[in-house]
Amino acid sequence: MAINLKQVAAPAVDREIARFETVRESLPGASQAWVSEFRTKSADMLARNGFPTTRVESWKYTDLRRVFRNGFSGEPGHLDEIDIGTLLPDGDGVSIVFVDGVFSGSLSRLDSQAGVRVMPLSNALEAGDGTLKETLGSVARMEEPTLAALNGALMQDGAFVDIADDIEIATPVRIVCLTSGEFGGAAHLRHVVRLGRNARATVVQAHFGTGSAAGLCNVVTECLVGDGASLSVIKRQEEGTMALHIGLLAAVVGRDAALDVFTLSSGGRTARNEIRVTLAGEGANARLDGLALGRGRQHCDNTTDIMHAVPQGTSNQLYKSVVDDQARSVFLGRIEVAPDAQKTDARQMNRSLLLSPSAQADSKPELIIHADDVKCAHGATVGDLDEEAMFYLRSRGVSGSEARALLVQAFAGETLNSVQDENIRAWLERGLIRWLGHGDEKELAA
Amino acid sequence: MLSIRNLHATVAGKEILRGIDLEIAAGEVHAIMGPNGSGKSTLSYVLSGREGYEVTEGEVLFNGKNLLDMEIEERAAAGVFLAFQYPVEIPGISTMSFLRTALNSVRRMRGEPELAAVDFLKLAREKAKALEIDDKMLQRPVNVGFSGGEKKRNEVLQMSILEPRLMLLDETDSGLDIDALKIVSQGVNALRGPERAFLVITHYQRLLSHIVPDRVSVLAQGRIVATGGKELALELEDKGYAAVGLKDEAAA
Repeated sequence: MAINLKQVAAPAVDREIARFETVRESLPGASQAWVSEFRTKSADMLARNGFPTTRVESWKYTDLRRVFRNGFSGEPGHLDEIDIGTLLPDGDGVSIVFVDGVFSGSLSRLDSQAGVRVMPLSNALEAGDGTLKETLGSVARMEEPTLAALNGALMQDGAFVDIADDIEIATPVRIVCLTSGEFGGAAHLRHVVRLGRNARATVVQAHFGTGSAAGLCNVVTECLVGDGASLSVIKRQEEGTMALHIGLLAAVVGRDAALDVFTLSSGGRTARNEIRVTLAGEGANARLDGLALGRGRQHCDNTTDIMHAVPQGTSNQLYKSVVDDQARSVFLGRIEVAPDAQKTDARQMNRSLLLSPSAQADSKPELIIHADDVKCAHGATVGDLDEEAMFYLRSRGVSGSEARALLVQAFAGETLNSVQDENIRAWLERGLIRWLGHGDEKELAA
Repeated sequence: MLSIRNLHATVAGKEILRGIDLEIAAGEVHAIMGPNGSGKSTLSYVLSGREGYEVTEGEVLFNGKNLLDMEIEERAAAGVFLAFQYPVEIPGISTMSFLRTALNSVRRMRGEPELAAVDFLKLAREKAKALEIDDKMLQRPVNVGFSGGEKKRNEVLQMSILEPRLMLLDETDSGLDIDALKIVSQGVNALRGPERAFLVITHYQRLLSHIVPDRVSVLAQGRIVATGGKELALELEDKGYAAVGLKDEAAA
């Protein structure tokens, strides 16, 4: 039956399904029936839906056919010599590190705190953790074609973060995913973050790679934000120049709970940072901000989908992109307001700065409003550098290249204002400045 | 210091400057007056190197060097400073960091060491105080939300920090009330000295009673049609451009 429903890229899908059949017994949690069932269900969804194509609305501008043509192969490497501290924001916090998708105990630091569990997902799968069983796959849906299905079948590891009711973690949980030198394989990471009622946490997701291999990082993050809880997720993505990065963050936000996500994405040949949020409890709030930086032939896709399912939810989005050379940025922002979701307040803004005539920025808002008493605002701008400002700076002695960098920094830096934690904001600023300096500052000495 | 010979320039294919000859010696303040559209602002843009202003004939020597061969920022480092008629707003860059970046850029190009943050802060505050610019204003983004007077004071602040040799003042009096005009003029006058020269472009005599010129030239239709002492400005104020044989179209 599955065969009839397969769509394009069938050879690539067949290859991945075959791979799954080969390795499934060696994947973590194989002894747990529910884990195996979840993997099988995921593989079935992949077989049925195939990979997303540009005919799928939310994948309109990002074509995976080319990158999936040859598949991914390579054995995970090691990065034992690395100083993780240099890759992270200043300050303390637990850190859970993966190299080419494999948990690294030696690089991780997992201190314990009452009411907080941070552990490799593989451990929780093996142990058949009850909370994980309830959460896994309940947030990241697979009805539409999505790489989350491939991820569900093949997930090797990830971070499982479980925070009990009323617990606040003062320092961020740092999830670090590193790609070693020339790793051209596929890393399927699945993070599951569950916050109980009135819990508070900040999660940092760092993706770094310096090699030029065309590996895949397919990362799915599922977040359950309990009533009255507050979760902040900050992601910085600096994969290697030829890497494929496909990230999906899916979240369900409870009553009077808040989710803030910031995404700084400057790495990879093709990168997608997709965020799907369901505001499931009244008074829930989501703030999604992001900055995409691209040059060369990079392609960066930020896709958001916010479902206002119940009344009095608010959502705010500011996404910016800066693209140079032949790079391309994509922003697809979908907001849906359910019939009952009265008093919804949803705002979305996307601004793009083109630094070269061959750079491209696509912006597509999609507002689907079924309720009548709501506020929904959206806007998009695309422009190039302000010639007057360039002349002004240069007339004061600032070189053309420095003037350009200053203006780009000023444009891009605005997005960082929403990041409350000073250490994390400084860490993101370093990422921005590193990009502006063409990556001269090598943080990952692999 | 500045030697302009037979300067012709076009903007979008249209000839605006049609053979300007002008000599400005070190220590001199030279005012350029003239009706709207006579080419006053174009002259200041050509001298500062703005793109879109094409020199088709003639030459400009600045301290013996070919100014027209230099990049915009090289001219700034060599000591040319244009005080804008409409200073540009730059959101996202604080005035303080803008000033520091500019100063250190010209210092680098002049082969001087960069100024440390503490020393710069001291310098900037001292210069700002003389222009009645407070710390708050220095923290705000460049010219964003500044009043007309604040913008012009900010121009003079930049001038006093960068210490240029040749200052081009493009209608610096426009948009200023009398108090702001006094502050700005005092700032400019404080910079006068035997090593510096000023080209003061203005519509009105008003500015020239605060910044008293050594010489006054009248620009009309892209050429200098009259040159005289400071009394020429008073005569123009009195009789309009008819005093130099032009139709009285913009003397008001």
